Amino acid sequence: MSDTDRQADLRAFVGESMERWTVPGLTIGIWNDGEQELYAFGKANLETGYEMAEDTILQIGSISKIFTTTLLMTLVDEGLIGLDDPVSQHLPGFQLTESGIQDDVKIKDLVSHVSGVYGDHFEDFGWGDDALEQYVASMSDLRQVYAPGEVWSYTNSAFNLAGHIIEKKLGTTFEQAVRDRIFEPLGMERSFYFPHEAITYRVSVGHTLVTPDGDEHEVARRWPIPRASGPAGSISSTAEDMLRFARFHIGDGTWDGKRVLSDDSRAQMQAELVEDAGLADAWGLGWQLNYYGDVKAIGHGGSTNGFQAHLDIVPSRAFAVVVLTNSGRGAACYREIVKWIFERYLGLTKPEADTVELGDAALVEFAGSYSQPLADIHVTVEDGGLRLDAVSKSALADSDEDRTMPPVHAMPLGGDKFRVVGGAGDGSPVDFFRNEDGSMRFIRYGGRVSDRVAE
Amino acid sequence: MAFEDDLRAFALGAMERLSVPGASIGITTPDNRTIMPLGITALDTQFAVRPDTIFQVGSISKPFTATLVMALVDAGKLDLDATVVSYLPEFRLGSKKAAQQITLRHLLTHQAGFWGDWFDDFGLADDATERFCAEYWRLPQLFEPGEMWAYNNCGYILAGHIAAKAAGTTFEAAIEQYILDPLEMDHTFLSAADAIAYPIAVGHTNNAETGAAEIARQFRRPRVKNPSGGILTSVVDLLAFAELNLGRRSCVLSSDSVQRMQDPTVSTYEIDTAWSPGFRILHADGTDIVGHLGGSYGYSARLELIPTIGLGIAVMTNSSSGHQLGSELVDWIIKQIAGISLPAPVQVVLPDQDKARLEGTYCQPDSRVEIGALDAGLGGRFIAGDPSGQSATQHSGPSFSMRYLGEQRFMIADGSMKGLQMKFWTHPDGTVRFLQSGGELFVLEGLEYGEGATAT
Repeated sequence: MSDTDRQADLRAFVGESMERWTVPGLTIGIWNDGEQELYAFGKANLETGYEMAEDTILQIGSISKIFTTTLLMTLVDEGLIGLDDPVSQHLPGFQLTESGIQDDVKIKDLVSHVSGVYGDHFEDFGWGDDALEQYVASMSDLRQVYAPGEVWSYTNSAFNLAGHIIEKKLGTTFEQAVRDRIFEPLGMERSFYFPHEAITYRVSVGHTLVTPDGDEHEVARRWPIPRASGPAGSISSTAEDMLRFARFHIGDGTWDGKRVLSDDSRAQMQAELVEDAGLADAWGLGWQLNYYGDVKAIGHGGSTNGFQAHLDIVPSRAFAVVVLTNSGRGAACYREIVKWIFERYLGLTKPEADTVELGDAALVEFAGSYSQPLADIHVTVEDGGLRLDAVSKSALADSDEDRTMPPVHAMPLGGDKFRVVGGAGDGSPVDFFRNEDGSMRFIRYGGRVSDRVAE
Repeated sequence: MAFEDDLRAFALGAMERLSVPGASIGITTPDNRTIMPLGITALDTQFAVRPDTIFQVGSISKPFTATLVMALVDAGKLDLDATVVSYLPEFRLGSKKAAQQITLRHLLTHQAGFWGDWFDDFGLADDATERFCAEYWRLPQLFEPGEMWAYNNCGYILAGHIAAKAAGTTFEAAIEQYILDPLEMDHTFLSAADAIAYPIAVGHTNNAETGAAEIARQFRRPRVKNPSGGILTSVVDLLAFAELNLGRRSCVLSSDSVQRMQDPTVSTYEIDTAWSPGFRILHADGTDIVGHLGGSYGYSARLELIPTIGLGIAVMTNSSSGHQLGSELVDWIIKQIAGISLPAPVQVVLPDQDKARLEGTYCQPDSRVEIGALDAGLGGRFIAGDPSGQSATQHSGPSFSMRYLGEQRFMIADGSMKGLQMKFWTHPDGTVRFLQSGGELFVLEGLEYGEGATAT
């Protein structure tokens, strides 16, 4: 089959984008007008030179959260779990965070990032069937970062908790539940939670930058996500399988004539639940929501040690695109690619909010140091905006050394909102939250809040 | 390099004939190393095997476990002649008496005497092996500790568990700390989770009808199998392990311990064959050949050492039919380099009265062998599945005929198991006690399988 002009243009654009961000390899799946397009670019492994293929398996990271949420909704359909149930109803005797908020957090808060539980908890409890149970027991030591519902901040740990509540309710392992209720009904034969399942197929390694401010990639190790963080992000899959999952969420809750999820629950996942979300325009149950004028797109990103991926769906146009990259800088690439595809396939563009002028006197309010366990962010005033210098750690790599990230420039949008301008994170939101007395409480950058700390 | 060209041609021809998709051959001598990756990692991807491609090596893991034990002996943390109960006071077997007597040396030399092929899956958690070994009271005792040799996987799992406890960590972490790190073996792993970020050879089985290779997708092994068969490694790393056991790497074991690992401790049922703590010792042409076979679902491998001339040979394949390849390659290489030919056993006539005496069905908890009289000598077939008929699936192997080699020892003369040796063991009164094949003991039907509880 020869490419259409648009496909040829896409190949050329992707090639340039990968070169710009030195991304080793990626796959793309597009579902458009009832037709599937699959693409493979670059290498699956820089050490061996193995080529990326259309059916190569890559980590999808946090896109896994939509599987966890979809699974949760199948239990809601069956009346086993209610979205407004307090967490404590399903885990008697369980303590959630140091503050003990298990009675105040609802099930739906867990899958919409508003529980206030510290989120980047990736403690490894091994590969036993009790890994999630042990993980959840360890959540009593987590910090309560804000009151439930107060702020939106990306919360991996809450999805793992949701996963454990589900497995307990079903009396099976979490992974088996996803296999039985999603992978198998949807015919997703190349989607896996465990390395020992994926390893006999064509599987990609991840790559990270040798130095954060350089361009050279190297193979990222370690590869797996701890089993206890499976519900938050450990699926590996192919572009084609991901399109099956996307088409399912475009549909009516059935697949091949069989009901998997009620249409109400499918639609409810896509309804706006949180207005002010740090990584998108708004958030639903699991899904992030983005608005292109009056056209709603749903989606989710994923970022693990050496893989970054994104799934975007426009249900009203029965359109989906998934980009799976094997680079820790893959987001810079998929952002450009998805933008290009939305424009060329759907005529949809998303105008950026205008930046405003704030005097240095106003900007200096935001300056200072902010901190969370995996990152320290130092904010200074520079060129009519803010400069962010972050030192971060990876929770998933073998190495836990501090990585000094390249400085980021953010311009004011009015209120306490800013947007990153230029570089790999171009367009990312930076938001500030204040205490009652007007002093700074949090910066929200990369989707997570960090506390204002003394210099 | 005429030798390498000849080896390559011979190996590629044999791989084609035996439907082996990929292989990695390594040879180490005091002067140099030969590394020869051949074929493909998987039928679907067609990726070329590389020097760093990782294979499963099955029971070649046992010499690793033995090496770990010896390293801990060197460190003063274990003693080969100490009993298992001195390390695990709670240890129980089907036979209470045997449980008190068995030593680490018995475990490493397959002389413990309890049934050794129990493989229930205890998952992938850190405590899997501890929970598994706590269930050994289920294992029937076939003979007294030290009385004879019978291949014993459970014995190695137990030895691995004891070594891990002595090292104060998990078995996997102990292997890394005591063997892999000092030898800089950075392509050797004990889990798919660790190996997946490296080039992998995918296993293949052979189609039952056509013999053609087919991809084997079942990669996962229960964690308890790690000390008996869990090693994943590259040919480069396996040669480093060979060199350790040839005394050329001093960072892991004392030279005394290297020697002790090659001490022929007990004769086996096969001709000119003994077992040391860790290795099979084949006495051929006046020379000891020290080695181990390894097989797991979709993979076969072989490691052979001739310490007197410092020769080490590693052959790894991603095929269930790779044993034949390993055997042919090792024979060829040993003949080329050492001028040693492995002797073919001589056939003798089996007296008719013995024929009648040895006929019968010989059983294990999960399989049996039927032995019957043929016009000339004996023949038989293997049947997998619970002999009590409780097992839903019974799988019958092809019939074979047997050549008599003397001393109640036979060799399968035809079919896919050609060359496999078998031996009948008798009581002093001449009545039959066991048939031994593939290292395992089968008990004449009607006799008690062993002392103690029966494994389920």
